[in-house]
Amino acid sequence: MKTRLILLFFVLIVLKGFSQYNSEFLNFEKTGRSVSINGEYELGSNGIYNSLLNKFIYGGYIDQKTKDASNNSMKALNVMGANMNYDVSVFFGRKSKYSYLIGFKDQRIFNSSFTKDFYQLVFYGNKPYLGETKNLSGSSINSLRFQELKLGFIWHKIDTTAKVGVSISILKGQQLFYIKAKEGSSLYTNEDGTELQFSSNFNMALSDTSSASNPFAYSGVGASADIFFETPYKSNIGKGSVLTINANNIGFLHWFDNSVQYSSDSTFKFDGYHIDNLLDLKDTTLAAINRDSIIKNTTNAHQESFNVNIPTNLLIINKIRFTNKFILGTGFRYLFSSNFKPYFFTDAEYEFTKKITGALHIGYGGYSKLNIGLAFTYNSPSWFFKLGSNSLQGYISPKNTYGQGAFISIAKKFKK
Amino acid sequence: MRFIQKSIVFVLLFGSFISCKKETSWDVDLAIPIARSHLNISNFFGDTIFQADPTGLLHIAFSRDLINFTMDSLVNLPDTTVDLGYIIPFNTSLSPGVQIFSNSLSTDKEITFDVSNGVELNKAIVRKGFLKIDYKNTYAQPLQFDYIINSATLWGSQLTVNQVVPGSSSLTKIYALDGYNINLTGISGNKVNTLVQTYTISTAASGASDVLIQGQGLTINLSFIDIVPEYIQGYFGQQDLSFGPDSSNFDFLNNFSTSNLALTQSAINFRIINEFGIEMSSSINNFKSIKTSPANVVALNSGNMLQSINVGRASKTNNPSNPVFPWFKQININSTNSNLNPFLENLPNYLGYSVKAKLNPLGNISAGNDFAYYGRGLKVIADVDIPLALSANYFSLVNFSKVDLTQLKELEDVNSCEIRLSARNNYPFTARIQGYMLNEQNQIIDSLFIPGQNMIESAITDGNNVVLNYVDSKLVASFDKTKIENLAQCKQIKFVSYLYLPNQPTPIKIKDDSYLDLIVSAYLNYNAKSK
Repeated sequence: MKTRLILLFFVLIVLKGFSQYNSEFLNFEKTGRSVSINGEYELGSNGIYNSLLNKFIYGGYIDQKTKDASNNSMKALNVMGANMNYDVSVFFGRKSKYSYLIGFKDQRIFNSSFTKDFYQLVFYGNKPYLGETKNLSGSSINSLRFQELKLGFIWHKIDTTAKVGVSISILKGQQLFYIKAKEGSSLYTNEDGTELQFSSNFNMALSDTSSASNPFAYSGVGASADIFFETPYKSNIGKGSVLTINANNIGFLHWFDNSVQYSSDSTFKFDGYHIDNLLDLKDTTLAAINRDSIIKNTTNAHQESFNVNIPTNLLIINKIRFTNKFILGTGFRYLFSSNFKPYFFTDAEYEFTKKITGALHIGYGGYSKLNIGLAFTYNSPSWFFKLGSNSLQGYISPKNTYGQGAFISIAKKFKK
Repeated sequence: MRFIQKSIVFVLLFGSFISCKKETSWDVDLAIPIARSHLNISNFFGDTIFQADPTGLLHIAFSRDLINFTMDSLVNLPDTTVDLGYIIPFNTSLSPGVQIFSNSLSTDKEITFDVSNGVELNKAIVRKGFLKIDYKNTYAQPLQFDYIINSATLWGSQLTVNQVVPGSSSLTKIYALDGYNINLTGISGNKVNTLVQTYTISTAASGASDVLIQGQGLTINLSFIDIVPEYIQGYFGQQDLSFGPDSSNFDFLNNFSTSNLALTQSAINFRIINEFGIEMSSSINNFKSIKTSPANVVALNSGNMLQSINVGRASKTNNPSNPVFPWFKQININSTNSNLNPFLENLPNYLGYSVKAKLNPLGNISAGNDFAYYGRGLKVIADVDIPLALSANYFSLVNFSKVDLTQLKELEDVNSCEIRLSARNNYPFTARIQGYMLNEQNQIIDSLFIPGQNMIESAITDGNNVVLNYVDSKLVASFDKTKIENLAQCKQIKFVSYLYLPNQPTPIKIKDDSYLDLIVSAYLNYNAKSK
């Protein structure tokens, strides 16, 4: 059984393969100057089970049982989020105290809050809720995709062992979709389904929709910075301790003039098209009622440029070496400008051989709830390879667990 | 390099995996309002033929023009051409500015128009028309043509043409006659259709002395063309006019049928309006109610009411903007003085008729003072009035609605559907409705409602069929996948409605405030998709 689970894990990683915590600096201790490919993805919700989320990853039909499982356990207000990024990075240089960094990274950041009522409307429709007002207040979606060109350096011998890394990035905005339903947003369907009443109090922002799916779309521009600090210190327990603080994605994106902002604070009642003449159902009557015109007429839509902050990722890890083979890390992670809940975790690392290390990860919070993961590292003088997941539960028991994710790093070390 | 190659392969494999992801789908149950309508009887017929009387009772009331006979049909002034000119019989040496011919002594001082049907005109005012003159000068020097129509005046001035025709040349000129007042009584003043002209031919003052050789001279071809009178006066003769047989169609009844229809009353008011200054004797014959399917004809029997109708002459107002006091007569044919009820109960698609009229049946009693103005004439109008107090077993209505749902791709993702029709009926009849889906060959491929589940109940009525209160009904049309596919393919829907009247033969009254409220909504089981 154990073997099968491990096999399953590796298959998933390979198929869906995607450096942990979205930072290039974290692996430098192991890789040194190198060229590396890193990828990671994480997807989680504290209201929707993995079995349903998997349908949006792998495709397929979401049956009633799958919908019911999440519906029966979720709270009134839930969160869901996903991060997916991959990068190619090079640490290089000839100086002994510092190295330079250059890299390219593609990032997709998605986070959402949703009410249980919103979930029910999306997955069950409005008919099961005739005569009810479904609360949409607090529901939001924030989806970003951008690419970055990163330039930086890492000062790796400050006092022989501490490290400080800094990078700045030029960002190319590809796509933004943001909507937030504020207090008072709801949808009411009357008892016989002949009338819909939509109380809309929302803001929405879209990047240039004409090229949203084009990875080369240039809909915005921005800048960001990453900061990395790592220092060993003496503690009362263990043989030594290391404190790591990393903050990345500190920046913003400026979306160009073709971007659109909508806002609405109205109540719309729709009780069908009013027909005055049975024999004169002109096409124009229906043609006039289309999605674009409704949005244009019922919202305060306007095109203009605007700025958005990108969610900043803060990571604090404290590692204590208890033996030559065992290290216990505890950490905290938070994503600003998102609905990511504070995430507390612990990593237990065990060195099987000089080259192979395994780690057990247990955490709680974030987009999901409890996370348990495994990671394996192969580290030779020429190669570094890391593969793992902080949310392995999503692959083992998708029907009962929240959250999933995986990460992979492959680095070819430069000769010293 | 190998590292880069491997990395590219990795990225391509990953990209392939992402692009091969299957579609995500789930089913949702939706309740969607579609349409609502507050309908009255006119919505069923799509015509503005309904009018309410002071009691609120609705009437079918409309008018059809049987005859609209105007002046241009009564009197036609034909295009008329005359030849004028002078050819010299012997060689003559001429100086410039010398008159060589005048018609003062010739016989072509009058031009007579050949007006048909014995019409004798003594006066005309031209609304539009032209005098066309073809000139041919065979003399080597220019000749001067001076022409006057003594009978045609405009603001007191006679119509005058002064034209120099260059030597040995031809030319054509056109002169407008618009607005000219023409006296057609000739030189003596007692002729008809005749105007007076004078002209002279001279050597032009701009020419040189020369010899006019025998056979040379000026020939003129003078034509009155495209004359449209504004006013004519004279004796229009004892013409026999015949109109028809003709028909006037009733489009709104094409899709309407009934069983045992009985009207309580009805009327057709014939309005005869004569704007000609002329007496007439007229008859409206063969007035028929023609139904094409099934074929049936009912002739109107109204005795002599529509025969030998003496039509008096109009008189002048002396107001140019509205110059005529028309003569007016109404003949009311109704259900008591004719068989008009059966005539209309036939539900005609057409009204057939012929009209005969004799002008001046007593001769020229106006002493040549018959008159007609442009745009004015003889009109016969039938005003039909049918109060909607009637009895019948049922009425049936057939309507066609074109549909094209081929662009509605979302229809493919509908698993099943219920179209729900909520009706509030304030009419004193029960309605059974059905919609048939027709393909491109107009063949029925499916229907909307299940028979027996398609009745809109009648309003609550008393024994006299007076509506006491409305009644609500609900109809459901269920669509499975097959029926949805048929709906997507159909090109039009044929709606057939039967309206059953209660307590027959007690008449029902359709009132102005009667209504049928319809609310259409849909329950859909829809397969939502996400890529």
